[in-house]
Amino acid sequence: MSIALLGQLYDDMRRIAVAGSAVAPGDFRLKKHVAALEQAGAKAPIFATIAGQVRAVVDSTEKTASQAVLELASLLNAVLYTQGETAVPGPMAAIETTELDLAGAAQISARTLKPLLEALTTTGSGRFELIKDAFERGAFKDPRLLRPSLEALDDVYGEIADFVSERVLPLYGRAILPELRKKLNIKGKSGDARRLELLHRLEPTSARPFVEQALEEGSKEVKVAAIGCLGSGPDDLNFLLEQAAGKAADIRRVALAALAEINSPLAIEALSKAINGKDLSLAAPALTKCQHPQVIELLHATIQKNVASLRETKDKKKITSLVGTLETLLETLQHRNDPGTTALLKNLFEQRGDLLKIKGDSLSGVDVNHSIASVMTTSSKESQDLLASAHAKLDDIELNFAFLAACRCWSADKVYDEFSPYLLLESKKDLGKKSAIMEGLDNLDYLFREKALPLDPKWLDLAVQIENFELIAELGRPGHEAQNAFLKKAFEATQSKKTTKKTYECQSVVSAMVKVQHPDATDCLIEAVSKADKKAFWYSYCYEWMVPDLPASAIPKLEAMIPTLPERDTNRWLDRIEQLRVKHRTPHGQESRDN
Amino acid sequence: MIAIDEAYVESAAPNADAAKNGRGLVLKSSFVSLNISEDETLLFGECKGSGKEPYRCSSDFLRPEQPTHRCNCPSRQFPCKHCVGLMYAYALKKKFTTATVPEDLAAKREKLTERKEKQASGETKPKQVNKTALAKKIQAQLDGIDLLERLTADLVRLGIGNMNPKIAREINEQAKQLGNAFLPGAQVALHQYTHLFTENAGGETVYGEALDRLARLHALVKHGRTYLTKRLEDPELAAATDSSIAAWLGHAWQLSELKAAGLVEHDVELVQLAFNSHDDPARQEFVDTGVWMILGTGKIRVTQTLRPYKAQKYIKSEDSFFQVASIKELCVYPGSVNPRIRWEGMLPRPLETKDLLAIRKHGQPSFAVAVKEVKNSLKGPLSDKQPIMALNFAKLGKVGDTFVAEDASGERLALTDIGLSEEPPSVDMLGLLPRSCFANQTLIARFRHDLDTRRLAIKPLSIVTETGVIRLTL
Repeated sequence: MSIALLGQLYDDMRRIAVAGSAVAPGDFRLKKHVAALEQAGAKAPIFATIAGQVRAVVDSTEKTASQAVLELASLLNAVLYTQGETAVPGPMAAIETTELDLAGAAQISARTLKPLLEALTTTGSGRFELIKDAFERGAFKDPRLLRPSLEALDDVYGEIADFVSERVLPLYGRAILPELRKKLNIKGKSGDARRLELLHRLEPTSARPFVEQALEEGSKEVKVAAIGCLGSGPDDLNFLLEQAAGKAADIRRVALAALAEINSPLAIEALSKAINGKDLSLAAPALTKCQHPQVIELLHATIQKNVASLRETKDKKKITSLVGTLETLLETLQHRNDPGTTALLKNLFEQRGDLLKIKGDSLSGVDVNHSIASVMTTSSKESQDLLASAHAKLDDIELNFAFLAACRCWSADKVYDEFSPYLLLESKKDLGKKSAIMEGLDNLDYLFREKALPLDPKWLDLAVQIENFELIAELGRPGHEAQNAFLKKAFEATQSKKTTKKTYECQSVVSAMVKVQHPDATDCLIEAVSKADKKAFWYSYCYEWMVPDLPASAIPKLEAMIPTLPERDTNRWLDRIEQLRVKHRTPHGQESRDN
Repeated sequence: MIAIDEAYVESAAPNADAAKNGRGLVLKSSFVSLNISEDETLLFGECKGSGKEPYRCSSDFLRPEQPTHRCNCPSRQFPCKHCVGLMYAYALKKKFTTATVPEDLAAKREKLTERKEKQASGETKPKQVNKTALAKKIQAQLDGIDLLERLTADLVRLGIGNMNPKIAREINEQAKQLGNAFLPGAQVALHQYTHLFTENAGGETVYGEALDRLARLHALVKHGRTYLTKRLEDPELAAATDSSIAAWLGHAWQLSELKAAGLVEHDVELVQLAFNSHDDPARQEFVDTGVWMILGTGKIRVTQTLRPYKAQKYIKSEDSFFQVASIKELCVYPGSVNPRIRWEGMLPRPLETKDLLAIRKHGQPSFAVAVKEVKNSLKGPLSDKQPIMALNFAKLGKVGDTFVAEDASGERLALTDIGLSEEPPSVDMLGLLPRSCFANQTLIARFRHDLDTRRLAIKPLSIVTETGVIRLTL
């Protein structure tokens, strides 16, 4: 069968269908096919039939043309469907595969997969939570999510792109390298910067040519990423030095950050220039990380020089400027515990009395003192001890730093012995000091989680003794009888109060009870809800969020309470109970029944 | 004794919200009464609703594999939250009082039992057909066919190149008349043409596709008119079972009709090889499609759940299925290569190695034979233009940039995602698979003939190895 002939005829018929059947009657190009088709029809009757249809189109009138065109189109399409070409000539090569390990990769169901594919490849709200949740459930082990995840590196919502880059894609390991290389556009945007960083993180050696290319021709975003991938080789150093003196502040910042990690006289020289120049603020994060002794020495010397100038000058504007510079310089000493820094801090701390007298426009010597105290909390044990031991002579802000320093360098009972008396102060003038310690205890959650520092259990006893609810709520722990008794009493006290105040206080107490796993937490919550004024729609919002933190034993009690609630609130409570149920569900689908 | 637990109720609910709300009714003590029949096969009760009278709901487990739920609430969800709640109450061990089954309910149960018994013994009375009404309907359909012919002719006269979103909207307005003429299928076929010209359509790239759809409308007019004229002459003539013309015109097949027409396969086992859920704006529906192989015969069939936008809340969305479905009565719609299937009750069992071997055995080892069968089907103007087949390949590889499958005799087929955007792209997935997947395996492939390049290519949906089914789409 002459496929070429049919192909040409199809093209002409398509042309007519596109233009409209009005142009079909008498169309000379169509007409030209008739003879050839009739000739072919002698051998294969189908050609003769087609020739007849073509003739019908050519001979049609404006009125009958559409019908004739449709007849021809139907016949021709049917014939062409049987002539579809399948041949793929040429030598066949093996498929390059990254051979993703499918051993542990269970295929997830469509109901889970489809929304994830959409979340990774489209825009709109609520996607980040879905992706994070799926990641935590291990759904990303399914290889069908790999390519959409790679696409998500360009997501308009930066948090999704960063999450995918930092958490999801490393799951697939080096298998993603070919795809990353294929998609990397050196002149691209932040998505390509993430691609380059990932390439470097997964295989620094093979990423090197891309890093070099990005440094030469890359867009700003990709260049910044490339600078972060540089090492300490001579070529890299020269390039970084060049970039550290460049025009763009972003590039200068990353170049200085990279130089701070290179042990080379030229790098030190560039950083030294930044310490004494206009790029101090820009270089500060890099200087904080820099461990080169020469740079540290220069920082010390510069600080001392600035302090000396500060003590000499009387110009208030200059004082403000010098204090600002000193604050930045002191910040670069955070977390340093070398002898030089310890000696400098000791020296500066001894000058605090003189510095206190210096007054500037908006910044004064006292601000320098606060910066010194702040640095001492993260410095050597010696510096921390010096600050903590001086607690009686310090102002409120410094006292707060001294408390933190004491927590880091003293034993838990010594901290308690030295600082607990501040909580017993009652006079008005001492309230600032009391607040400083309260604030310190407030921050302990963060501080202690970070360093796993022990806290003297007597603090909670003291909090109960002075009947300080805020402190109990902060420091409370399960199983403390006096605390539990206090909270129960506090709860009962709230029940006698009226209206808004009652709801607010009651909510705080019940929340504390839930937090410390008070044995009566569920009952008190239910009592509070039952006594709440249900005309006020917000009563429900005060309590329902606590439900997921209750024990599994609360489920039947809460379910029994549902019928007593107004219809409008029940679904929200049921949602919360469902969350609690899911939380306590064991892998076999049974609910655990703790306490 | 009714053996149900919370997990059972959860899976019986049409969606997660219905399960949550049903459970909520129990917790809110909305059930005024909870009763169980003496033979412990029927749960019935009354549930408070927004109206004055409570809703009367029941869950009948006389046929445990296919329970019957009844409720007088107006909800279109099935089972409604009241029946779900009733089952939850039982699963949560709430107190059910043994009571006499109310008369109306007893009558309904009896009727159902009788009907099922009749069905089982094959004594069902033939459905009474109101011949006058049927003739009237067929006449209306024929008038609708005339309208479709006029609209198609207008579109051809106008030319594909002159179509634009505004004209597409105007045609869609006129297409509503086809719905009124009992031709919803024809209306969808027309929408499928106009949808090519909506705001975000592909410009000139759709011309080939548009011409094919016009030809399909033309075929629909021709075949539809012949079929309807024949029916008008003999109103007792049942819907055609030898072709898909009835479905094209919009006939919604009922299982009883399929059974009556003998379109049933007994005691079959099915394995799902691929799944897809996509939005079909032309149909205004979400379409959940399952691709299944009948283990005994190796035939590939599809299930389709159509969820119209307006009713999607009330229709249970389908999910991929990883087990083997054992089915007593499988109803098969009229169709060509991959006809649609449906069933009422199903028992699942785990997928075993022998099942995988059976699937692989059914794969077509000769691409030439498969291509011939596909082409033969494609030439029918109203046939499925993207049939699915199981192909046993010798190797998968690349020729230039094209992924290629080759059979034992060296016949090749190109792999592509082009023109098949309803399913997630799958060709690129091959670059992630173990090398062992590239030789002597079974490929579940969807064929597509590209009208512009005139090439027949395949989209890989899954690869069946001796150890499992690797799904490349959903």
